[in-house]
Amino acid sequence: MPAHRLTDGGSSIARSDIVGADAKGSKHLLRHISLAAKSYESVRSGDSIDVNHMGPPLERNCSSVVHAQGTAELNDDELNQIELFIDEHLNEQEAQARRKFANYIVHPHADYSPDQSFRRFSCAGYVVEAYAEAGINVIDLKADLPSIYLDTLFTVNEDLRRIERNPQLRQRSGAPSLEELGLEGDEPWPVLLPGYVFHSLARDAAEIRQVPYRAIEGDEKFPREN
Amino acid sequence: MTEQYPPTKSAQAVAFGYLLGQLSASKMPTEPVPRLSEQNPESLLRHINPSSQKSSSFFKPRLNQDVDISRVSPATTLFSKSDGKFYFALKTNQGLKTFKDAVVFSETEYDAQSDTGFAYGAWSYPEIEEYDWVDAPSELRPDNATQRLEDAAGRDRRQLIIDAEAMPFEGEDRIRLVRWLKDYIEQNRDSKDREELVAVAAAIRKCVALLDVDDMNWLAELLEPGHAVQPSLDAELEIAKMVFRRYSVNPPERSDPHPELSERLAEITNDYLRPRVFSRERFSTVAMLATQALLVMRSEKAKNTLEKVNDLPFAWFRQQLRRRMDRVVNQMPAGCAATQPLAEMVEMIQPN
Repeated sequence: MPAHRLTDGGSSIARSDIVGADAKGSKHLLRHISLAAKSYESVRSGDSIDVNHMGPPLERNCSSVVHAQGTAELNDDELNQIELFIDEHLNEQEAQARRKFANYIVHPHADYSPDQSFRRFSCAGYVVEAYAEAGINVIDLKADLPSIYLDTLFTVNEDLRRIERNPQLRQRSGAPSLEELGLEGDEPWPVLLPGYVFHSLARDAAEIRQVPYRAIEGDEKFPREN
Repeated sequence: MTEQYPPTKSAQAVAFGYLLGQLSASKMPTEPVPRLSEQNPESLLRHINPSSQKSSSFFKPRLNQDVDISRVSPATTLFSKSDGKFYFALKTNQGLKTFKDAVVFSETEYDAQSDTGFAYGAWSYPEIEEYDWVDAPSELRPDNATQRLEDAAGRDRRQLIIDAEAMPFEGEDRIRLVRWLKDYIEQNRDSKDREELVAVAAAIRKCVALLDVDDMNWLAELLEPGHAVQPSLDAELEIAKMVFRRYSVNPPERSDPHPELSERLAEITNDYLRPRVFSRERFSTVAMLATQALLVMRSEKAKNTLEKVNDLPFAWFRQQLRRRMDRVVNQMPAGCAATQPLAEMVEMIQPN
């Protein structure tokens, strides 16, 4: 089944399927995206399931509320490849859990610390990179991503809003500035947002593997508003 | 909670801000926790998961001039949301103090059913104490990091190592830190404590990132199987990963620059690229990274390793290795002398 919004009816979710959570106060705007840590027989909208994700921080088997699901119908080989990617970052992940923000980045979706000692991801970046390890390029990252303004980012990421609007909080928490999260210069920025991934997975499994999805304006919501 | 911010308390009130930041290792207590507002805070301590704690080293508030909040306070992360308000227990040198009516910025781990949670950050207005700020322990900086590490122990030291991993080090600061990290790694790599091993892994990553190229063979000693105990999978994984990362970005001028290190990495691939052990634990991950490390060093040992890879009955592993190495080759700077010989080695990987 292509990507869809979860309902009260319950849907089965397979390990490493992609799941998303809605932002508050904006219909169908997805604020977060994760990999299901295991398979579930019946998940309803608003249920919590175990996920692997960049929270921040990077976490494994962490509970997260879900409202949308996407699947590429991963085979065993692809699951092994994604699992290896997760294992590779296990120790980094445990260190990150003790310094919440250092490994989080908004833009680009993934990069390395300057000395390469750890990787940094956005939540969507972690998922996209995990699937790339399985040879599935979910999003066309060579194409320009839609331009995103700060207001949209604040709606997607409430923590970002809290931190940005309270410099004292940021200073004392060690939370990064917008610049440190990769949002340098004037808005807008071509930020990879969770919703794009669901539009990619709303295609059939063969197309998902053959053609990376080119995100367009409005894809931050799933489904898109008409 | 955003509706409650900014706080509307009287400006006369002395705000006590505290942030626990990076507390994401928190786990919900496994048994119901009594409401803080209704219980002696002392009784709550046993519910705290020690692994969820972090030294709040960036501030050290003082209550009434003579009450210091412990830098490592096992109770600081616990809150209760009874009656719509938050209650915090803080361990101080005068016993436990509670703070009421706090505003919590992030409550991602709040569980309404048990009315408990762990705060990532908070800004509270204590009604029961007056206090003022005192200087926080000096902020961790590259120029004081090594001294801070030498002075610290236990949980504080582990946190400092992890915090230092995210900082840049250059010149003398780098040399001092590397020297300290090497000693720390050698002394703690056999620890059985998971918390210590997380710090050891961070120390290895940082150390390899900063190590002089001429000193890279030291890593071979860490991977030496004749050590008191077998090198841990974690140590092998982090060393192989960091060797790969370093040399994929800065390819060595000459092939196989560290023969002893190559020898150890080849031993790892020789041991783990066997169908019977390959799928267990994280052997495939370590084998992947060790193979990648041998390739980017253009080690003579890589050829033998690739033969084993090609003999494996796991095509997914070869496909992933090939994709990763193709990416490295494609991202090498134009005109790099290492590109062609590496590309030829990568061609040996048979994806199917």
